[in-house]
Amino acid sequence: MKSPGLITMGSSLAVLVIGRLAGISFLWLSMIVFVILVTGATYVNGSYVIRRLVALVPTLFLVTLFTFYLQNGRGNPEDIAFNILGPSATEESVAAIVEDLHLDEPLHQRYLLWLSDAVQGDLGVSPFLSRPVSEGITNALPISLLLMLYAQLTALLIAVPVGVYAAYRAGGVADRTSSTVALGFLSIPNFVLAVVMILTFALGGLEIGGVGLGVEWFPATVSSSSYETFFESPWGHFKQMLLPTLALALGQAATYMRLLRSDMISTLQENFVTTAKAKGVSTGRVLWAHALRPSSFTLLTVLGINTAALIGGTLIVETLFSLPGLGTYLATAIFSKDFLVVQGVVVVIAVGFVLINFLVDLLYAVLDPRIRNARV
Amino acid sequence: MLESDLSTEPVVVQQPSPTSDHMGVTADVEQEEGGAYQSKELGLVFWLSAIWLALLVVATIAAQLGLLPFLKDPNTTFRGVSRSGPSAAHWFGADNIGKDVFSRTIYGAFRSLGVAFAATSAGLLFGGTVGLVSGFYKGGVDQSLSAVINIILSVPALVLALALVTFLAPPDSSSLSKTIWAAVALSILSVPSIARVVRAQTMVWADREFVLASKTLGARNMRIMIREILPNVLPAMFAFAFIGVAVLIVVEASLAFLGVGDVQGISWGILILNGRDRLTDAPHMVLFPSLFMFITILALNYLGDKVREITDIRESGL
Repeated sequence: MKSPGLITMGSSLAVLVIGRLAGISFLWLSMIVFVILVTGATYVNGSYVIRRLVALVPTLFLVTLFTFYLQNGRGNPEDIAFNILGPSATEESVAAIVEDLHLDEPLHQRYLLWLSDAVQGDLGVSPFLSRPVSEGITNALPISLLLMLYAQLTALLIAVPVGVYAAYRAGGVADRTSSTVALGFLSIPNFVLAVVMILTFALGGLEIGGVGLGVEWFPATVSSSSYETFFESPWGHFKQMLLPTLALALGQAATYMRLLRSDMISTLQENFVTTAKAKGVSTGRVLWAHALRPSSFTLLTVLGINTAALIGGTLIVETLFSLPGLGTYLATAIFSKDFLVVQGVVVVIAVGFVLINFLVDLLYAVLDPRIRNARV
Repeated sequence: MLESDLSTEPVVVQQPSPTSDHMGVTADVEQEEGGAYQSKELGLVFWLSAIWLALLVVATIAAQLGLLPFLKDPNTTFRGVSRSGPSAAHWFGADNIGKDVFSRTIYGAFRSLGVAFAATSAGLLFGGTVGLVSGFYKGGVDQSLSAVINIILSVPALVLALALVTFLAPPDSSSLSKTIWAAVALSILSVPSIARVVRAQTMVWADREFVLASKTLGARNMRIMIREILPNVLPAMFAFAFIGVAVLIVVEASLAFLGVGDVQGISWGILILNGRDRLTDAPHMVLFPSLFMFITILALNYLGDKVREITDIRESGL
């Protein structure tokens, strides 16, 4: 195969798009895409994938152990049960939850029992909502994932052209302007940006001396009943997601733009770029076809690492817009001291993040020929 | 390994700076040469940022000591001014129950900045030590320390902080102990990232001739680490620390936003959180604390960037 990276990426995208059109659940699709990406990477560089997999297992073990320990490490079974149930606990419900969560077993056995339940999708039943935690997460997760996906795509759409142009005209007016603006966006916490956006674009904005600055184009809050999926109403979905997406994406775009710019500047000083220019290759082609790819590896790594920051941002921004995603679920749970939900959400996010980083490492191997062909 | 090596690259410099490219660099020489750079490189924005931060820190401490007569008591409710905008009596307006927003913003800085500074200092101390040791000794020590660092970093920062504060702080503890727990959680966040940066830098410096010379002269490892390597690693550490403080200010506010930890006291995050529901009739409740936070973070980012630029051969050479 000539370009395994392209085929892998293409087929995963195709699966996502076709799967969504066919109405298959988002979580299933994510799993299928995960398998495709791992297979593609194994084809390219099997030993690398196996080494990453070997490192993945202890990480996952420790991350889950840590989350479990935080909730269950201290106190006797009844204390933990009271903690989980809250003030409305009765003798019977305490006994039931001790039985259900195996709280009377020794700690290491409890961990194994909890882990085997969790792997099968049983994270306990929230005593406050009387609903399984896993059900709440399954409902909320797709919205958060979508929001993160939109944010990353928007950030890249902004950052790549601006970064490339700024590097091409390094030191010029456009470069200095974009760098300053980027530093500004980097310094606005995303919740501040979100609040200002809500104020300006959703609530009609400030009134200074009788002159209104702002419009009411977008909904200020979305609730689980008013949330519209893309398939129910593309326009409604767009209107609901645009502000949260931008609140997250602008900061990310600033990071990516700065990275790409500085990498691109060093790439443009390489000999092969001079050669290409000397051969008479057009500027556009030199920038986009020759220089962009070798300049984008750091960007790709940071794309993975920044997912951590993005997860945090998503949780906050969701609560601000009351989008019914993981963040709102989590914040509600924290507010009502629903510790089973908090534990469930934390473990799902932590494991998901470890898996995303694993995938980014693999993608790296697929895209970077220096790693692709490395025989270790 | 690969991931960790590459991932630090964008954030910090891995190239030794040309200014200290000779043997036996001491902190003094480094400073003098830093001075030579300063007159050339630092611009107006640098000094504005530094002045803003200095003023803010002084005002915050003075407010806590009660030395600022023009500040009103942040917890006093003034009659008849609730939700009113900026005026001569209340510079930033008054909040929904008539408390003075300007005073609250200045008082609130104490917790926002204090927690972030404390956590970053702890991060510099512990993370610096871990990074130095693991970068200097390499081998088994490095591998085990790096494994721990990588595992901590494999949980998203905000989620880690949230889990730590939710589950570690006893549910009925006082507001002070909750704040301290938040600082502890933020320290746990900053230690691994600083350790990673210092480790990468230490590895570069540990291979240099002046370290070898020191070894040949019979210096002990402890002395080499502190006298030879540490002064060279410090610029990168501080560049990162500035940005680290900025990040932690945001994380602290984010925790308040999610309702974790103490949400009764005064901090920028809590002020913004409280004003959120009043956006339509009292937007100044959110705008002024947000503005303070924004300028502070901008100043920290700019200083961090500048320090990095000065010590970075790649960009300053261009």
